[in-house]
Amino acid sequence: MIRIENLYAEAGEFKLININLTIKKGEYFVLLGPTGAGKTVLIECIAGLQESKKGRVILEGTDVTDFLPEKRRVGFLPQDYSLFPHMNVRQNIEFALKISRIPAEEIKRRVDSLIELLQIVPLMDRDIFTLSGGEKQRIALARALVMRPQVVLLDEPLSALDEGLRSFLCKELKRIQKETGSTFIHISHNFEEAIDVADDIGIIHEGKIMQVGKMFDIMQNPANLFVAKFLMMENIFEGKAFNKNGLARVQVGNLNLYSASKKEGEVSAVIRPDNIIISGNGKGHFPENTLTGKVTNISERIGFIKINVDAGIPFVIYSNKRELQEKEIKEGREIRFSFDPSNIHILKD
Amino acid sequence: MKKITDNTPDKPRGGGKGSESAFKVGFLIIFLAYIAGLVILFLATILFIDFATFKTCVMDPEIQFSVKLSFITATITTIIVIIIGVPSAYALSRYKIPAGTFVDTILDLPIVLPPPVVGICLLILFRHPIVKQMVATTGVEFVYTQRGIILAQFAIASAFGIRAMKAAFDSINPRLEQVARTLGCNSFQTFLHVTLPLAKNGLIAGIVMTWARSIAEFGPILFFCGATRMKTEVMPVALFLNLSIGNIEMTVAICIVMMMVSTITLIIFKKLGGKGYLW
Repeated sequence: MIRIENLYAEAGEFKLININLTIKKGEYFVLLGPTGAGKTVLIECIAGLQESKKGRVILEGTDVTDFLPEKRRVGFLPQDYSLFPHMNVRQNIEFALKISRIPAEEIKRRVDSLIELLQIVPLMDRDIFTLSGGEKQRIALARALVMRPQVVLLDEPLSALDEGLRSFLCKELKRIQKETGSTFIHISHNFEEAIDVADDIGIIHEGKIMQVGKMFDIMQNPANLFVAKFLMMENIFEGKAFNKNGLARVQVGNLNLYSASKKEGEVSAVIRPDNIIISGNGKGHFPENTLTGKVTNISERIGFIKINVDAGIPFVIYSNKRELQEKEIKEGREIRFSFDPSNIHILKD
Repeated sequence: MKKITDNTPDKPRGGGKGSESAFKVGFLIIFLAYIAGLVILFLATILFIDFATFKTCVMDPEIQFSVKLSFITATITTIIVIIIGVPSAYALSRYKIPAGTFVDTILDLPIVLPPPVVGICLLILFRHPIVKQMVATTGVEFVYTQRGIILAQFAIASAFGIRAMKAAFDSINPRLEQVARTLGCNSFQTFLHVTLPLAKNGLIAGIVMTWARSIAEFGPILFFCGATRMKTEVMPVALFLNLSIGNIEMTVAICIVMMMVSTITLIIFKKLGGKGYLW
């Protein structure tokens, strides 16, 4: 288990403010945040490459805050993989074991089983500059894993790769992590990448952890407006909430939306597009939140159809081809739609 | 006149290839004329004496002495520069040095100062009572000695060497060193197994540079060690002494030897991808 307690750090313009984080052993954790959020500073603090101003880093019960990087047993995969250019693939992978003066038979045993797992046996005698991006990543991962680290830190490992390779390598990273049982902390700014690999996700912004949890739970219940916006949620409306008979009436422009939340005052209301039901001509499923609007745009996406509706405020609704045909939804037509009050999340910053 | 709101793209304005090539040819001619001037300058000296005269001059014991003294002193100076320069260049490249600009300026001072100034500074330092006392106690004399030649060469060549070595360390991504640390290397092992092998070419280039500067040093040696025939007579001093007594052929022969040494060291420096100050 990795525990980070009240961590403060500063590196140039990047800083970390009171980071508290617990990552379970054998977990694939993705630290997600925009550029400049402090993600790299945080993993550098875990690796011991960056000094913290305050706080503690605890790896498997040992407080390593004052340990030098070489004493922490933390694997580190920088964004550019940083393979040693003066060594070939085998020398790169064996480097940590040779430095630790591990006997030759043990080095061979460890390296052989690892290179089989990572499927890099044919690359072993190649020079570094002849490798592709994906191959470099595997070699760098092998180099880190060979010393059996407590945790492997991956700094945007897929950002330099093209899209097709990225989703393939996501699956590979996940497979390798599962088969080795290692704890992985992977930092990224791409939430699709996070969905592909993560057991748990932490969202970081301006040096602070915003929310930690499963991606599904975060998407269902974003902790604040930043998280909702960062996850590119649609239908985020600013308004004023008043408590009425156990429901919050949120006034957005001329419209009133009803939420099961009890928050009041200046708020943001978030409604996921897949939680909106198009009712055709009949009464809405949820009478208190039934609206009418004009379809302004229909666009096809992979696996769904996105409908933009002007109901006084602009809504986005996700639908499918069959529903479009059955309910004769076309650009310019009026539609009626509704949503459950418990599906409106009220966020207060 | 087009209105701002008119978004019609401008049509490509054809031609212009002629002026483009005139520009290129014009600049190239200026550059080639300059290079030709340099070649003429060196050739004039090289062709001033025939090969037989050159051979006789080179076999002269005085020239032999000066070549030998130059090579020995420059080699010792270079070894000292390696010992002091490698750690200094690494520190300069990697660590935040307090009063950085000031330190940087001090380091560059021997490069930009007229060399005789450095010689006079050394002379004055060794006239200081405390230093004089130290020399008297240890019996190690520098002023007007061959030992002094090494000190004078070091005073200037070290700055050139450290600059070139720093450039070699600067070119290595510190991430590689950080990764080595996470793989179990302490800072010395990281330096030995990662930094040094990667900086190797640049460092050798710096060493070659230091050696070449040491061989060429004249100003500080003249002031600090004097120009004594067959004693402190390194090649540049031999040039000065021979020219001052009107021995032109000998002077030109030494010039040719020095041109050869400089050309070879420059070629090695460039082949190794050396960077940093070259003047």
